[in-house]
Amino acid sequence: MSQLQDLIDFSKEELQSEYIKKACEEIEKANKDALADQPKLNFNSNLSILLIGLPKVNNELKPKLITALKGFLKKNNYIQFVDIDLNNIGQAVLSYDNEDQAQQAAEQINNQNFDAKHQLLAFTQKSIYTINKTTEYVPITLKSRQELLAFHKDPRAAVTIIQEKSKLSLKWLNSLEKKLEDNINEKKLPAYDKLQWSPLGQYLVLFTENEFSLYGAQDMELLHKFEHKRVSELLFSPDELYVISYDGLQQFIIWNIREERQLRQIVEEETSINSFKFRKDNKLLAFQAKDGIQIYEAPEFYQKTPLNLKVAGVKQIEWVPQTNYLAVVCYGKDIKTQIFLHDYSKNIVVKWRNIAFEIDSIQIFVHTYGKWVATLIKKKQKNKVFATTLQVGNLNKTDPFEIDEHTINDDVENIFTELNTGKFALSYREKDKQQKPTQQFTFHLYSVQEDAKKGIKLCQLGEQKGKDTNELLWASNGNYFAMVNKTKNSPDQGKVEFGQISKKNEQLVTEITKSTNHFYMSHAQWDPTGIHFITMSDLWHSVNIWSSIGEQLVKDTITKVSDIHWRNKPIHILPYKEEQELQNNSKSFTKKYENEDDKILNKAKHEKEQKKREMSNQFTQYLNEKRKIYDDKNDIRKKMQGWDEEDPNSYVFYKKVIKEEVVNS
Amino acid sequence: MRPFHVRGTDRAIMTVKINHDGDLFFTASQDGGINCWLTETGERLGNYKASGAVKTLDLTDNSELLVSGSLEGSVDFFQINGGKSLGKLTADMRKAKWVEFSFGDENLIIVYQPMTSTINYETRILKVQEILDKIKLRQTQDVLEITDTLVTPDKFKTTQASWGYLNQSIVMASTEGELLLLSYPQKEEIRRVQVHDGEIKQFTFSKDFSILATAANDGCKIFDPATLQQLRYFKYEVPMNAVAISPLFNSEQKPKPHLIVAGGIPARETARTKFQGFDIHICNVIYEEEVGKLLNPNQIGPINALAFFPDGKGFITGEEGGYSRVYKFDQTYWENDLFK
Repeated sequence: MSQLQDLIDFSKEELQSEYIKKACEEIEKANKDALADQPKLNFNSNLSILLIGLPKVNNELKPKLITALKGFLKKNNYIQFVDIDLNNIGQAVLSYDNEDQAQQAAEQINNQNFDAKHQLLAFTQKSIYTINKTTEYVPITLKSRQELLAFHKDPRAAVTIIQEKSKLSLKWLNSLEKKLEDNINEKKLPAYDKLQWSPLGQYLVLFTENEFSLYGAQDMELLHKFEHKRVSELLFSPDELYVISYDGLQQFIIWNIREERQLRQIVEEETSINSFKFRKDNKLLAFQAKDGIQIYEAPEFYQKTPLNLKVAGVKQIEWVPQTNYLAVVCYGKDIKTQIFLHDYSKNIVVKWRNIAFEIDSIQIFVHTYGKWVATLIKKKQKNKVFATTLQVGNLNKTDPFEIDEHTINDDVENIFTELNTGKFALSYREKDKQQKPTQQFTFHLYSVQEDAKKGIKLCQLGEQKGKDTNELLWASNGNYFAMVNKTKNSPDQGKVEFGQISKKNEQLVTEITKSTNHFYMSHAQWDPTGIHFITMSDLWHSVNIWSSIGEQLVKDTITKVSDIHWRNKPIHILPYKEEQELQNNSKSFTKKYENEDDKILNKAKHEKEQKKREMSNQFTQYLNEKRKIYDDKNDIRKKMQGWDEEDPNSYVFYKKVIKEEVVNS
Repeated sequence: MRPFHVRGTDRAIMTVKINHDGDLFFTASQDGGINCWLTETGERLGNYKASGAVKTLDLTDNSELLVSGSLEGSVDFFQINGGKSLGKLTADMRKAKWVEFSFGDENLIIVYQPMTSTINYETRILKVQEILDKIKLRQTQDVLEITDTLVTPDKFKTTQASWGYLNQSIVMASTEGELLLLSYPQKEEIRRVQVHDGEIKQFTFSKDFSILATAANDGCKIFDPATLQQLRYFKYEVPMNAVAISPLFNSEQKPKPHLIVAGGIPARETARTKFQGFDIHICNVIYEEEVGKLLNPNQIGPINALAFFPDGKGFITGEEGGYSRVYKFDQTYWENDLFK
C-alpha cells in the first residue's frame, strides 16, 4: 500500500469543500437541539435530575458556576441539591435526598431563566424515558414468575434452531424415540445482530442497533424492548430481576426488568462488563473502578459508600457464595501483587500466600457452593512465561490458609473449568525436538476433592497427550467431557472425543469412551443438564445429537440452519429435601419410570410397524399400476426394439470354455 | 462380497456403462480413452480413442455402435467390435454433456453446454441412420449437414436430457435444480418443477419406467415420471454424484426395491479434511430407509458413476483415481430379511 501512495499524487485533487462546509453547519445546528446528544453522566434515576442549558465553561470556572447556581436556587427559594456532577457542554446532574425532593425540584426549575442568555430545562428519568421511547411501543405483557418457570419441569431438553438468520423454531429432544419433535414452529424474527438466552432460561434476548428486546421462553412472545444505543453485552442478576447493559464504549445502564425502567446509569472508560459482579443473594453489586471497589445496594442501586474499598490495580473481583467474602486480585506495573479475601461481616482481610516472584497474570475461580477458591498464576522471567501454577484454598480453614497446588513448566494457553463440582483442564501446544510449536495439544485434568481429614485436595486426573482437538467442554455434572476442534480450514475440523471420569480402586481415572467426527463442525454445546451434546455444521446444514458417552442419538439435516442453542435451565429445580429423597430412593424411582418408558417404546414400535405397512401398501399399489401400463404396451415395445425380451428362444447363455491340457511328466 | 478392481487410466473416470447383455462394460476417463472390459473376468478387450475428455457414453442394444461426447464439443462414433472409429460431429465453443439413444436406437439426443455466455444451451435430436450414411459417403473434411430438431426451452440450463417411456416424452434436468417434462414429438411443456437447491448431477429411470431418481448436493429424491410428483427423499450431508436403480425393482418373481447412491466431497477438498464420506449407500425405496453402506478403505476419491448389472446381481462403480470396481452380491443379499 505504501508503494501505491508514492505512485499516485493526491495533492492536485481538490476535495469538494462546499460539502464539508455544509456538513459542519448541519452539525452545529444539531447541537442546539436539547436532547440530541444525551449526556453520558453517572445518573441514579430516582434521586437525580438532569439539567440542560447552563453556560459552557472550562474546568477552571466550574466551581464559580456551581456557586452561581446555588445562589440562583436560594434566590427563588428552590430546593437545594445535595451533590452535583457537571460537564463542559453545560449539562449537569443534580442529586437529592429522596424522590419527592427530586420531583419537586424538576418541576420548579424547568423552563426558568438562569440569566439573560440561558434558559434551563430539567428532566427526571421518567420524562427522559418517555421522550426516547422507540417508535413501535409495545405494551407490557409480563407473566408471573411461576408461570414463566413452569415449563422447566418438563424433562425434555429444548433446542432453539435458527434458519437463515430470521426463522426461529423451538424443538424438543425425544431421547427415547431418538428424534427432534416440534414445539414451536417457525417464527419470523426481525433483523438482529446477536442472540442469547438468559442464564436461568426465562428470556430470549435479541440485540439490534439501538435496543435489546426480551422474548418469553415458552411461547416466544415479545415482552419488552429496552432502548440503549449500540448495546453489545448483557449481565443478568442471579434471580433475573435486574440486568446491566453495556454499549461497548463507556456506558452501563442498570434496568429493573419487571418494572421496565432504568435504575442507574454509570459511565466509566476502559472497562468491560466483567467488572460488575452480583452477589448470589441479589442484594449487592460490586464494581471494580480504577481506584477501588464500589458497592451498590439493591433494589434501587444507590451507592453504599461505607462498604467501598480503596485498593490500587484491581484486576478481578469475585463474590464467594454462602459466605461474606469478596475475593480481590491486584497486580500491575509498580503495584504490589496481592490476592486477598475481604470479609464484610467482620471487616477483616484474609490473605492468600505471599507472591514474591514476577507474574504475568492471575485468574481467580470460586466454587459455586463457597467451599474453596482456586487461582491460576502465570510466572514470568525476562518477559517470558515459564511456568503456570494452579492453587486451591480451603475456605473452612483460613488461619493459616490451607492451599494445595500443582505446577506445569509451560505457558498454558487455555483453562476450561467446571465450577459446580470442581474440575479444571489446562491445555497447551506440544513442542517438537527443535522447540517449535506443533498442531497437537496436551490436556492436564484436575479435580478438587473434599476429604474429611485432609480438607481440600487437588487431585491430578492424568494427562491426554497428542490430541488433535484444541477445546475441552465439561458437562455440568462434572463426570463427562468432550474434546472438540472447531477451527475453520484446519484438517482436524470436526473431530470429537468423548471422555468420562470414573472411580477405580478409590482413585479417579479418566478414560476416552468414543472418538468420532462431524464433517465441517462449527458449533458444539453441552445441554444444561449434561446428558446430551449437540454438534452442528453450518456449511453442510447437518445436526447431530450425542449422549454423554458418545452414542449417536439423532442425525438430521435442516435446510439453511445457521445457529443452534440449548435453552438454559437452572441447576436445581426441586427444593433441597426432595432432591435428597430422590438420591436416597433412586431404585424405586427408576423402576417406576422404566415401566413408563417401556410403554412408550412399545407404542412407538407399534406405530412404526403400522407406518411401514401403510407405506408398502401404497407403494405396491402404485407399482402395480405402472406395471399394468408397461405390460399393456408390450406389442409396441416389440416393434420398436425389433425383438421380444420375454421370449427365451432369443437368449443365448454365456459359456466359459476352459481348455485344459494334461502334461505328462 | 469380494469386489475386484480394474484400472486403465491415471485420470478420473467420468462414466461407466454396461451393455444390454451384461457381458461387456465400458469406462470413460478424462484423458479421452474409453476402455472395454469383460465383466466376468475383468479382462481388458480394447481401447477407443476419443478427442478430448469424455463425459458421456451410450451404446445401442445390439452392442454394435458406441457414441461418446467430449468436453471439446465433439461426438464420436465407434464400432464396438474392432474399435474402428466411424467419424465424429464437431461443434464450436460447446461441450457435449449428454448423449443418449432412444428406445429402439432410432434417434440420438445430444445436450450441449456453451463455453461462453453469448451462446445458448442447446439440446438436439438427430437420426442415427442418417448420420451413419452421411459419414460413410463423406470423402473429405466437409462440414456435415444433418437435419436435426432443436428442443430447448427458454433459459433452461440443461445438464441431462433422457428419453421417457416409449419415446413419448423427454425429461430434462438443469443446473439450478429444476426438472422439466416435455412431450415428444409435439415438444410441449407438460410440467416444470423446482426440485433441489443446487445442480442435479444425474437422474435415471428404473427399467420399467415406474420411478425416476435424482442425485444432487442435498441427497437423492424419487419421483413419478408421468407427473413429476415427489414420492421419497433420502437426506445426505455429503454431495451425491451418481444413482442407480436395481433392474429387479418391479419384477414379479423376486422384487428388490433397492437403489444405490454414492458420491463424496469433491476431489479438490479431500486434502483439507480427514473425513470424506466416500461410502456407497444401499437404500430401500418403499420404507424410505438406508439398508447398508459399503466403504473401501483404499479409496482416495469420490465416486463419479454407478451402473447395475442388467440381471441385478451386482454393480460397477467408477472413481476419481481411475479405478473401477465390480461388486457382485453374495448369498446374504438374496436370503437375508433386511434386503427384502
